[in-house]
Amino acid sequence: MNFLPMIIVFPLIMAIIMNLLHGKEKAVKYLTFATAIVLIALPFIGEYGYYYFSGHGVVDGWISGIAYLYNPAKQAVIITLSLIASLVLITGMGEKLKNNMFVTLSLMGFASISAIVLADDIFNLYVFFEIISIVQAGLVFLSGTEEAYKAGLRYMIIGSVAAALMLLGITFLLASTGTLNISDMKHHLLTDNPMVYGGLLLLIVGLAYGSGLPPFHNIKADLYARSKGFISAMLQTYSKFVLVGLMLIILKLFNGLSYFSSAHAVLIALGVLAMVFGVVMALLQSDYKKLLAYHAISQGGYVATGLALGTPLGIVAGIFHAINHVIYKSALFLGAYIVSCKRGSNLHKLGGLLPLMPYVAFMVLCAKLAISGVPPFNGFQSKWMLAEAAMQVNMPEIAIIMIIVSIGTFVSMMKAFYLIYLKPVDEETLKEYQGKEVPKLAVFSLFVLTALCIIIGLDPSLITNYLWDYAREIGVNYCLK
Amino acid sequence: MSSKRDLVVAISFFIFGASILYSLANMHVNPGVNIVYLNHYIVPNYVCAIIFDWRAYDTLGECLVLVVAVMVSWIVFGKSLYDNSYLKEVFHAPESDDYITLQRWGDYTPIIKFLAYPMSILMVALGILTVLGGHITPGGGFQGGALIASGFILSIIAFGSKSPLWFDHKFLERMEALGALGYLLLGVAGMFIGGYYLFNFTQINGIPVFPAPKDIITAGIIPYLNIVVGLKVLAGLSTAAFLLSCEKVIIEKISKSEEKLE
Repeated sequence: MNFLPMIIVFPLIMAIIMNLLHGKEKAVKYLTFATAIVLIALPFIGEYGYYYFSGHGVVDGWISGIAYLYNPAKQAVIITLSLIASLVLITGMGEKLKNNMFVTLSLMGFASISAIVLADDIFNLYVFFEIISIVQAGLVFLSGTEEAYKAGLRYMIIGSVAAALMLLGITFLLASTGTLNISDMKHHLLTDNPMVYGGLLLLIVGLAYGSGLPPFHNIKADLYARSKGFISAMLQTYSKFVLVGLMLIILKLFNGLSYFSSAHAVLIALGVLAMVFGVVMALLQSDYKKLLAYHAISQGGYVATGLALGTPLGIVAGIFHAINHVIYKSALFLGAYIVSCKRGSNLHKLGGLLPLMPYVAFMVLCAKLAISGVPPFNGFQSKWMLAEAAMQVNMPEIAIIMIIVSIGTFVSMMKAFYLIYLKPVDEETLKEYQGKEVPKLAVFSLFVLTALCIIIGLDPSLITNYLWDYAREIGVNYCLK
Repeated sequence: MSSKRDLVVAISFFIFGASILYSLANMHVNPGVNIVYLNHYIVPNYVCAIIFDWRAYDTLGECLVLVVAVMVSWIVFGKSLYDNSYLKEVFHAPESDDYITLQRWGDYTPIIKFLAYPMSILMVALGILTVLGGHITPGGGFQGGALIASGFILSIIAFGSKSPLWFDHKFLERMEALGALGYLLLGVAGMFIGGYYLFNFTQINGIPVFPAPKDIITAGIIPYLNIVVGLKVLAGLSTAAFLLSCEKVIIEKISKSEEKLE
């Protein structure tokens, strides 16, 4: 028996049970630890290939039910996702309030992102896309401040428009092809019908909303900045993998068709704009979490550009960068959470934390070097691959923009490092720092993530070996003249 | 400056709308997979067959959208917040002991009360009928659940806290969880019996799952899925209406979570 649906069903069952455990803090704590351990095992229980829900496979030449497609590339994404989810869940249990709703919503989010990545059915993808947009708003509401309420509400209002437009796009595709299954739809798309253009346009609107590409980058960055540090780590993981999942589906459907070349340009432009906007906005921020939030947008732009190139190398580089990005950015957000336990996240009020927590400072420095693309960390490997992919299709200007944006990232990251850890402070502040504890579980998660940064940086083939087959299947080689 | 920006926004909306209308104007509908759905008989209600058999997994997702929406509305009103000082500012102390503060609108006339009571009972009865007959007649879990919930809401609006039709909010919470868990676990049962998640099994060891006349013996687990979806929709919609109309529970939640934090 193929246990593939358990990747989605197990977290959902646990989420519903957790919802009922409101107020029973001990039960919540131990059950969360158990769930976090099981999550890591989940990606390994499924078998590769198609999975048909309710047993409705091919009938009269059509795939009649809902299908999932599992392959090594998707497995790599889900392994990363489950690792980050379980580390974040463990970190969340270090808080004073053992929050059952945090666990519930995180597990719901985990299940929906896995479904979006696995889905070979475009309406099923939309259903889980809707769940994830509500879950993200809910996770932000958990921090309970006025700004958090505003950010979450804005995200939901814009989301109701953007997700509805995406549904309209899906109905366009359904009407013109007569099926919702992506593998089937690919065979019936070949007719040159304007409805397919309309569907593609509206899918791109949903993609930009779900992953925080312009014009939705501000609301997304607000979302990351207003929630608690470990929740932001979760949120940015979700949106990176929504980007990967949706982008792979758009590529699978349209890549190689004659009319896709202009849409290509739009997708690449969205990616480049996100890269540049993100880093420029980040240079202006004086709040540490806002700075990290805009960097998350900027790195999302890298992923989108790599995937939008549409060549096998570009696709591998894009997915690889998404995986690396969620690892080091989660480390940075956990670092921000540890710092905010000491004294808020305003860069001008912090300083002098290096002697108090040298290990944390070192690990955060590693993550900062990784995000700026310094060898031997993982960020270097994937940025190198992205630049190589851009050169391969004869677009050197994209490679140059990538390098300039990396420099901007390095500058703002080092500024933040100086202001938080190195800037001298007076005696009173030091005393205030010593009165507050460092959350130990967060430091543990930070250690695991930093170790992963270095391991993947030394041997990138650990991940890229998983990705090549699927990338060759949906990628198309071309070169601009 | 702002007028230029307005112009840009107007033009981009115009282009966007025009492109959508253009693609709609060139619509060619391909029946595609729908022919498969029409040619294979499962239960008399074909819509129900598509929702609960061919695409049952999508229905699970749709249910979970509602579950998550209700959970998030609980969070908005103060369940499990890490910091609720802002929420406390927004909600002041309750003005009356009444459970639901609809009294400020004034009492309703006896005519409304006289009509609302039998009407809500009728709506609940019709809702139950719609849920149970979902696989043979038009309707199903979603519609029936919504009918029961609207009967409940009607009764609350007419009678306030002295409503004769009353569900406790904890009971509603449990009922919703039961509905969602029931759906998920029926799917797991299908996985162990038929090999696929949400497999529609009609019998276990020769014992029919759903005892029915010969024509609709193929219904299998569809009636049960209808019932759990009905439970869940009823509980979800009632909770949402309840949260929007009732302040006292929210204030209680806030003070309870304060005790825990101290």
